Amino acid sequence: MSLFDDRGAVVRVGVAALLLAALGGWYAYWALGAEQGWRWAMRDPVARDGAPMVFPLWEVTKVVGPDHYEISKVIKDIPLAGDARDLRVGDTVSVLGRFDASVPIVRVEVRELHPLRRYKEILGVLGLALVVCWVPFAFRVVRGRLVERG
Amino acid sequence: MADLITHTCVAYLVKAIPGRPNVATFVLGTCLPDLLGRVPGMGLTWLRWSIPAIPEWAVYVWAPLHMPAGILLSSFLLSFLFPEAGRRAVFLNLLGGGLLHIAVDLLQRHFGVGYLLFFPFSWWDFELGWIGSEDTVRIVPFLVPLTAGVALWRRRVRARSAAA
Repeated sequence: MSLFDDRGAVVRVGVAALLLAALGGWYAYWALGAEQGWRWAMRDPVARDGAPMVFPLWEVTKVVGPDHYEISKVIKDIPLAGDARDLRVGDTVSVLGRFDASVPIVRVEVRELHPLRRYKEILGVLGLALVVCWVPFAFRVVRGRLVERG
Repeated sequence: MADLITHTCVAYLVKAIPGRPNVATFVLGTCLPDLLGRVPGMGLTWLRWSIPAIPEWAVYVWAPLHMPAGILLSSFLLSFLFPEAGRRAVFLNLLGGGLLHIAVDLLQRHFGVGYLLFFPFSWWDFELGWIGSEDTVRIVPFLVPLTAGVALWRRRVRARSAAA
């Protein structure tokens, strides 16, 4: 009997699905409790004063002033102190900075603007739509199973 | 992650140029890490801005589907949608496509935050950082015509061999 036989498939598929769910749960548990980032710093701001912060590909959701803006991803509206003169709401930035507990805020040390991000997102959506349309042309259903055409 | 059009074209070229079988399954495999591991998380992240009641863990649970261990398990699960006779080949093509996806993504740089290649056994993250995270946008205008050309060439070769 091989791993891919129909006989006993229910058990193998069930175990694989449980393992996959466990992977998802473990990752989420780690992500929520990770000892880094804004949430971690805000749990004990004084102790984490000066901690390095990394925000790759976050969206600018508010430009408060020429040297103050906010970014969002899973966590919304994280305040940053740094040059915001060329930023607009909707821009994507990657930021390296340090946590300042006195405000609290992230003081930006390095910032990269991603002007092509919007085009990449458009390509992503277009690609998703093409794949969804392509699948019925690439596969057919025979006796309840998928079969590659051609 | 690179965009889905780049991933699809690269997977097609890798399989079609040498004339190997199961091109569609391999291409499907290369799309799965984004379709299963990124799209739900990105959609839920966006939704949470309007509906904060969506729990944060719901955004994160999909991420392993964009990692080698998750790709291995999802390829195994999806292979059972196919007939028993060719299931091993389907699994290998889905897995190969998924790993090619990760290889293409590794070329990018994200401010030093790389991909967790050995999750759940290690939290070590890695990326080659050879291209910017949006550089594939500049490659697509060349990659799409090249892929279309190879698809036409492949169709002609098949038609010729069928006629012979």
